[in-house]
Amino acid sequence: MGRSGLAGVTMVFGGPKTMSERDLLVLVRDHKDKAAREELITRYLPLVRSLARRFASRGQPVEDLIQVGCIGLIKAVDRFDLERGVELSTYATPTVLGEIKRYFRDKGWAVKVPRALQDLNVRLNRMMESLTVELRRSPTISELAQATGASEEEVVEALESGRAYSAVSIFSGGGPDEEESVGLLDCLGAEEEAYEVFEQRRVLAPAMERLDPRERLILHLRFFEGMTQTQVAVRIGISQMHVSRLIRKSIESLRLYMEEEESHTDGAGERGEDR
Amino acid sequence: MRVVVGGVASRHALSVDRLDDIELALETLFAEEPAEGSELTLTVAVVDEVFRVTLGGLRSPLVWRTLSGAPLMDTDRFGAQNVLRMIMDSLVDTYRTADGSEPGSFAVEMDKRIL
Repeated sequence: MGRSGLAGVTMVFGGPKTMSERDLLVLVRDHKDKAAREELITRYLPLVRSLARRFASRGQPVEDLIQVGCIGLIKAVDRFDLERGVELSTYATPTVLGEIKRYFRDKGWAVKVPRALQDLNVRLNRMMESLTVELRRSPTISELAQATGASEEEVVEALESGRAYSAVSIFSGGGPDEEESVGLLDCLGAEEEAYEVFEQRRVLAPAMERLDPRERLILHLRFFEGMTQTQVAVRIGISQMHVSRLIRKSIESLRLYMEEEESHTDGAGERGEDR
Repeated sequence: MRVVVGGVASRHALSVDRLDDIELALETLFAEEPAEGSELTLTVAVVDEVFRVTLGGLRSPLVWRTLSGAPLMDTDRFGAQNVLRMIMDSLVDTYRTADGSEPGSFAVEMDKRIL
């Protein structure tokens, strides 16, 4: 196998994929080598996925958490000090975890919600999923109260507080894993055809196209296919609470897009004339 | 509003996702109301296994025309009208409008079956 030298790095023909971790780190440090950096990131993606899954029950899509974790990984690769004599994995793990925790802290609760309510909301989220499977329908507040040991008033309050939890998705991902994303894309084809069928859909289609694919799919399933939130949740692989938040966010976006379009086409239609 | 509706729902077997549908329908009606307007009234009742929510004191002409089937006007925002109709058609089983107690105001009554 042919080799060539580059300032303390053993270059192996075949590219970064065949190089040792240390050599890649040297390339990144000394030459800002993009290919080496990408290779390191690729090698550590399983670690990021594994760490992100630890937070799977916190109400945020795992795929979003993986993306956040990747930011931590990139920081770890860029800031790693070879002279300290520790493994990259040792340094990357707390960096990735820190980034994910920061995401929850900064992006999670949009308004201050008491800790006890946050905890109950997380428990309700889990309980809702298991009861939905068990009962084959969405549970009632009374059933949730019984299952969590909370009062009905507390359940109502915790569900309400859940709305303070941000529905912001940092990227237009599909479901919680890659296989599911492929399924979503498959669904979108049929969705586009359906828009052509009805006048309402035709009018809404341009604005729908501006939503991210997952939000578009959720709106399609809920409003055009007539699925319940629980059925949509099962189909997409996220919780019913998260479907609820995404529907609200999508409708708000839809409304804004349509207002933009209307203001462009006719100089903003006025509202307020008497009935 | 959600706590009130949720509180009543908790005394009946209305599932959480159906409750959320009603709340979203209400939020949609609120969103179309002028920022400053008359007093709104919310009435919640359960009649024959149907969860009935009535929002009164509304004044949005667009909501009125969209939900009452009255002809739309050139100045109506057709996009908003479509979003509103899409939401109301999907989220509640039936809805109807009625004249309000004050001139120019109206109420929307929405029914959702309790499973």
